[in-house]
Amino acid sequence: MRTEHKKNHRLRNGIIVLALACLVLTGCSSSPSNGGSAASTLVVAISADPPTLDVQTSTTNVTQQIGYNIYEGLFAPDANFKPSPMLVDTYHYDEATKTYTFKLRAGVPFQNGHILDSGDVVASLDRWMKLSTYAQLVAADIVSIKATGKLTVAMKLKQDSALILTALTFPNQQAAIYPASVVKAAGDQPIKSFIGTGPFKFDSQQVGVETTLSRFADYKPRTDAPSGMAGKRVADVDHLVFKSIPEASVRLDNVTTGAVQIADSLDSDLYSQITSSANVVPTVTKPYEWPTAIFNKSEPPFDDVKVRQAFLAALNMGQIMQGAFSSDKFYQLDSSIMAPQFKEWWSDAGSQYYNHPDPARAKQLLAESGYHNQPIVWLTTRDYPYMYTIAETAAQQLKAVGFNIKLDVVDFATIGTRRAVKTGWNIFSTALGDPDPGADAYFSDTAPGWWVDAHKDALVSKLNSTMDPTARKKVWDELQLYFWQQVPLIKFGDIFSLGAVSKTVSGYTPALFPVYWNVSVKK
Amino acid sequence: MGHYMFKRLLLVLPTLVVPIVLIFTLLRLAPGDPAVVMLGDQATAEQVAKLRASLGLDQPIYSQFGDWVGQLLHLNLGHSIFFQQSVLSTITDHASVTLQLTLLSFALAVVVGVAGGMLAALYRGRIVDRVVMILAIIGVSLPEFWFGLNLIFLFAVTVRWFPVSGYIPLADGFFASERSLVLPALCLGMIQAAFIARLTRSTVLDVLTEPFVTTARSKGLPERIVVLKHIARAVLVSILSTIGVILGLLLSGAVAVEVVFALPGLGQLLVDSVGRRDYPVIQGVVLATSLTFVAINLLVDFLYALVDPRVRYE
Repeated sequence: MRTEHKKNHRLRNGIIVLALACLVLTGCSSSPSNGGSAASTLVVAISADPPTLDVQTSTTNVTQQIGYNIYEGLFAPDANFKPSPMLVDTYHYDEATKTYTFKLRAGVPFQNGHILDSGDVVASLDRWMKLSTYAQLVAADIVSIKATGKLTVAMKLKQDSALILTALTFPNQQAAIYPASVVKAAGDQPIKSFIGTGPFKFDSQQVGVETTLSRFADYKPRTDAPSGMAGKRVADVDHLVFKSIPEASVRLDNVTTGAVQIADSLDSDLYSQITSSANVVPTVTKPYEWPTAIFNKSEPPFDDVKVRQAFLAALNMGQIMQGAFSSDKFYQLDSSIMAPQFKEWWSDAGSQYYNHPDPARAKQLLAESGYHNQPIVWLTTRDYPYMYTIAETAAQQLKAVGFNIKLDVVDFATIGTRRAVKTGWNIFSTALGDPDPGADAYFSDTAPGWWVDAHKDALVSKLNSTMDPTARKKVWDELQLYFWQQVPLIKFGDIFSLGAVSKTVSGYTPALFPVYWNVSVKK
Repeated sequence: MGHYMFKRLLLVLPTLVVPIVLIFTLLRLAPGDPAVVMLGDQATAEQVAKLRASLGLDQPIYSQFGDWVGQLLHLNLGHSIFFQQSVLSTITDHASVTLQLTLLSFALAVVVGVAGGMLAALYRGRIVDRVVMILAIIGVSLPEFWFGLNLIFLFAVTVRWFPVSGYIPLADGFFASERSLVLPALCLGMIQAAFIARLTRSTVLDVLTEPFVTTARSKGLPERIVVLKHIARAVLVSILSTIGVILGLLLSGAVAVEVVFALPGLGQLLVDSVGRRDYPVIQGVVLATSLTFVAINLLVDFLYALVDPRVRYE
């Protein structure tokens, strides 16, 4: 053995050297430090790759997040989510002729050099009405959109509609204004030239890696003060890069090392890691959305209002939200469908029904109803972990009062398909959030959940055809009270989203629709 | 040899038909619909129906299958619903990352794995053996996801030798590109190296007791020749098929590693496409993966025939 050992000595050394060489070659061939970025580049980490940069057609969030730096609409939401003119200079609604007249700002250049005119607006809005699902909220109310002058557009309505400006403002499937030539070239297919009037222009895209925009030198900003997405926009950085990084903790690591300056949609348990880092600050976006459970009201047992009321009476929202988010930094309990941050809409109507857990009352309501312990199928998903945790905690509370809940955990795409069919499920998990309660899909009889109710229809119709904001709010109070009495779905609370921003960044405000103009990066 | 190769090539066709039929049927049977995913929460039933019709999803399954096979016969993999471009270019966009990552991690796995396994076997029971085997057990037990996050914490956040994540294409410089893949390649390669080391060790131990080794030694051959010429060749035959499988696995995309390191490879493409129900891309990637495995198996068989004359005479 000893002789054999000696013989093997050189061989062993050879193998060790080879293995080490391999490690060295692959492991240490770099110069140190990845930190720091070019002075005038702002890098934002996004969770997925955008499928297209055609904001009119895609519902994908990242498409919008990149797109609204390139394109602009007639209106943009201000910090309180109110429509505020963007490409529009002045506008007017004539109740007698039921016509909106939009006067466009003069001399606004597109990134291809063409100057904005009414032809671009008509072509873009026609396409948007045809392709955007959000546009369908108002499409039926619009009779025609016509150019009445080089910079004037007239939109004739069938009836008064308070949702027109909301729809033109909403940043998802945005009513973006493209040059008429781009619209013509694309038809119903996604646009191929990414040209708008925004402060940044499209530069390049590397599939799965990053999308790069650069400052549009000829951008013509508004002069009014910035608020939310509205007002004056200035591209303070030369380049704006969106990097696709699917894993949340890796997005944060990139901010820590300085490779990225802004990251959002982080898991709430990363909060302490952010606060302990010397060069990163946490951001909390309020409000983000509200998680909900939507009942299938087209068949028993949830066609019976008493079963729905029993469901609500059984729930302790504090426990449920705490279970899902661990810290109340990331949620709030509130009976108002519109979160307190939507100041003009916030309402306490019906608050006596929300988060007053009363198992005895829940049992009594169940006993009075036609429910006989039949299994209740709750479609939920781990794609959004909080949806699953909420369903699980709620199911425990519901079982205690006599509901026979069966969680059916599937991927989110499966929920999308199964909920469209009226049988095979009783509840599904999702999350909602709209800047105008009149735009909420769950008020429709045809949306999955099928809330068929004449009184509700009358209230929604009144809400959407009342033009005066004060009068609308009164109708909304009434509708929200009716919501909590009828319980077509459950609001568990409002949830917030955690983000991280490098200390080198100034001017950034976390928001549901974050903006990257008026944001600068220190050298 | 020529006859053997021809026979093996003929057997490829039925091997490909099975995954083609399976993936198509399973996808259509699974719930979830690309039109619903694309249009989002606000879409009306009419819009969904319209989009389904324009994507051809309202056709009966057999006619959809016929259309797809027809396309395949024209070497056309179809059109991605999500990316709005041909599946072939979607796959090639993502395949270059996977290929580069595979080459790096495979080289690492084979060199470290085979060297470690041989060392452990030749010094069986000694400290080298113990260390290598402990490392190998840790390696095979490590979840890729967790290991990847720790590598990032150590080498990208703490000492900052490498970028945290992301991919730099070869066009932007060879070294920059390789540098962006070092951590993911380490993560993948070390885990596969652990498998190879364990396999190599047990194979070498078997071979060491073979009479031809005793003969070689009794002839007075230097140990270097005995190990590298006689033992290594015999070991190679035994571990070739496993190495082939590992290469196939790596080439079909490493999902967890690609997600952690934000690499736009085939694994991430496949997982994302399943979430989006982008049927043509899923079918295309699965077909490409099957082809890769078939090609590697063929290659391994041919190599067997080269290394071991008994195989080609069967």
